[in-house]
Amino acid sequence: MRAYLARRVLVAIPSLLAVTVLIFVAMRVVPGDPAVLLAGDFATPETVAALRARWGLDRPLVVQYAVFMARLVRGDLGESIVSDLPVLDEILQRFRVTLVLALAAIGVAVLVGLSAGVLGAVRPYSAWDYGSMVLALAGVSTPIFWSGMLLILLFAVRLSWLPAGGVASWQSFILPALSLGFFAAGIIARQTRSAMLDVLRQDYIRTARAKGVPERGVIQAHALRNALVPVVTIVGLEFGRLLGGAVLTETVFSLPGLGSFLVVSIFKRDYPVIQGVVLWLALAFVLINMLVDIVYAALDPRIRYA
Amino acid sequence: MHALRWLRRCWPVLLAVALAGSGSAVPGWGQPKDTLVIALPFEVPTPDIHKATGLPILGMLAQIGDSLVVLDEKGAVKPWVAESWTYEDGGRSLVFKIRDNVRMHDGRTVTADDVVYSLERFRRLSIGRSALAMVESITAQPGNRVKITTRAPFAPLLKTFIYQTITVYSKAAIERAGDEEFSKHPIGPGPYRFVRLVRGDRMELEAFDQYWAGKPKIRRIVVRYVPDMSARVAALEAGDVDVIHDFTPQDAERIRSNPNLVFINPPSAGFIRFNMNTQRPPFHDVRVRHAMAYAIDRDAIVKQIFRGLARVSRSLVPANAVGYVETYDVYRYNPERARQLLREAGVPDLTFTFSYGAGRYLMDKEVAEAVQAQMARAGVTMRINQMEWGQFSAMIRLPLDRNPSQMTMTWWRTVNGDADNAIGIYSRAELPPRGNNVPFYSSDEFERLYAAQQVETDPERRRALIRQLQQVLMQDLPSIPMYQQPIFWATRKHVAGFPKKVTSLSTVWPLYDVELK
Repeated sequence: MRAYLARRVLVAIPSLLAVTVLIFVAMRVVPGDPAVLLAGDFATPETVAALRARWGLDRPLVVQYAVFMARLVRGDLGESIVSDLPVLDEILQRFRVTLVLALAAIGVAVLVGLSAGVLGAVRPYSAWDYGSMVLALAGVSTPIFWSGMLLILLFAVRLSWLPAGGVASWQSFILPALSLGFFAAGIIARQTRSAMLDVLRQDYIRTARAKGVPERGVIQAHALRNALVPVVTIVGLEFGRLLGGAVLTETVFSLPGLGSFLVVSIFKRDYPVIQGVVLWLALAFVLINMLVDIVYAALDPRIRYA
Repeated sequence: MHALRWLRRCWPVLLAVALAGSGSAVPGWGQPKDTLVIALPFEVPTPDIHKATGLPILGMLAQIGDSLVVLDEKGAVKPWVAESWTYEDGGRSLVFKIRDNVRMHDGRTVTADDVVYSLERFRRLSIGRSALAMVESITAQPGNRVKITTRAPFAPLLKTFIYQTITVYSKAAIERAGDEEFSKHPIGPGPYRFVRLVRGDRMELEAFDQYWAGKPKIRRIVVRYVPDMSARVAALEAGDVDVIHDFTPQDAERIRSNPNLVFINPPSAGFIRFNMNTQRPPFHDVRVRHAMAYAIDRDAIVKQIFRGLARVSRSLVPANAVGYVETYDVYRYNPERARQLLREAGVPDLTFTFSYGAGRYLMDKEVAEAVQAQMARAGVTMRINQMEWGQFSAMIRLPLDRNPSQMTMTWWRTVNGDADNAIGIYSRAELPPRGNNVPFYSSDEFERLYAAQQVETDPERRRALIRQLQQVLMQDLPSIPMYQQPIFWATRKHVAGFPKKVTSLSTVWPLYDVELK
């Protein structure tokens, strides 16, 4: 297992390098100059030139990339062009918000999605099944900014039970977690239902029932555990996506997370921040995928990594 | 299944925990009482006003520093940190007498040295520093006076100092902390002292009880960054925030009908203009430019898209600036006249591209589409090129030989309520890439009148020159003045005294006497 993980880390390095090159080139191909945007409407060409020189944007691309990489290997992502603060500090500050939101949302998603999926599979083609699948479909199809706005109007404006946004209190995370969680719950519910239906048709389930194992035991110990492997894949992917920042949710609920930070930085062409955030997200995806692999092995003893 | 069972047993507890402390309406979630929460569409980039951008943001940061002069309700300059002023050297020098009783947040008294140092710092660091470009020297004089000398008499100089970025800071604090550190924790003489900035979320200010004009009535101000318009309105309706800025006319109607909210719509010193590239076909022909103005129904746009909450602009000078006249705007909606002019110019089937930075200005997309439909009625095909702002702003500032723009939408304003500041962009000195003369307008007559009004110290004669400038501009029509960009603000009803703090310059005066009732 350890050797496998070490190999995975080694394979990830060229992927991350490729990400740095791609994002570095892509941002500079896109029209728009951070110095012009930062200097604003009043700026003279001298101001713009001074800003470009200050951020090294007047140097050849290769030199800029080399400087970026030289700092990166020392764990330094540079400074934001907009705020002048270290990019890593900025990322960590926002990542805390994103992590809390992602964990809360995936919690809602797994709880609701697994329950609905199992319920649908255990009583297929019943009112429970149709009801939970309609809910799942609604979750997947509802635009997040719309469901977010509805939640705000109901729970914040109409009932005054919860805040409309921000991070001033822990209650601020409830509505965005529900809004995001229901979307992911829809995907997880559908995957769980189909995996469970598949497993429930297997011979070993019939054997377990024939042995007289109570139905609850059949579902929990035999069916659900086996059905979880594909579900874990989906949960891992969804969690990775959530860590990438839920831009719309963060915008609607005014959460200072990583997603909205990335979008704002793109609009301002804040190259060091864009590079830093994208690299951070790529790293997060690599780590989550490794975590998913470990969970596979824990769920299914037949899976062994050599 | 375990989870389901557990949820079934515990849901009342979970709900109770989730709603703990929420009770009924809780204004300003997570905020201590006696806090004014203001939600803005922009993030505070730095608490140091000399390094910041964005007018509403500057209004917030101005609470930390303070201005030498402000404008009163009638638009006249009023003494503030400077208690009086005189002119010397035949109008070339302006001498401010600084009040003796103004204290900084670090307990020191504001001196002429602080003011000189701060003005020089503004001239060195601020992106708005061109406001003092004509200044030759700034010196401290005996008797707590500051003398500002310009290269030639400059009529709008006094008004320039109402621009809130020209803020007074503590010289000793900057020297003690170093410039970089000071920017993270600025110290000035304003009604509120800086507490902290949480990037991407909020800035917190605390009342400064020794404020020279009076102890602030509210203990804390929190400036929150709420980028989404609907979210700002919902937060105000929910009582999460007390003040919001920038929302749609539709939201404005909802706010006006809510008895708990107060809608504020001051006259705006900024307006939207449609610029035409005067050096390239088809808009190098003045008849084609006139035709465009006749083809656009500005009244309909204001009435339909802005629900009557904006005002048509009838000059390239803002409506509240000195010397503003409407009479030179002869271009009332007349598609037939537009067709005739286009025939005369030899372009009866005119097709052109209209570019704008999407989402930059309130209702910009709706306005572009409405104008496109109006143009079609005059037989003109207008292609809409919706661009990302970064791309758009880079394009309009390209030099003429590489600049592809035909007609563009931009906003411009006056930062000091003076016409000079608003029409200066049509001078040759402002041609791209150097400045914002986006239509590449070039006129000897304009240059002569523009230079003359700058040095004219007689107010009546200067007013006459500004009128002539407007006549020249409305005749040559490098840009079509469209409508005043509304500055919507709204507050909860319990915020008393806020409306008079919002100025036509879309900034905010010191909030020391605003109260929560």
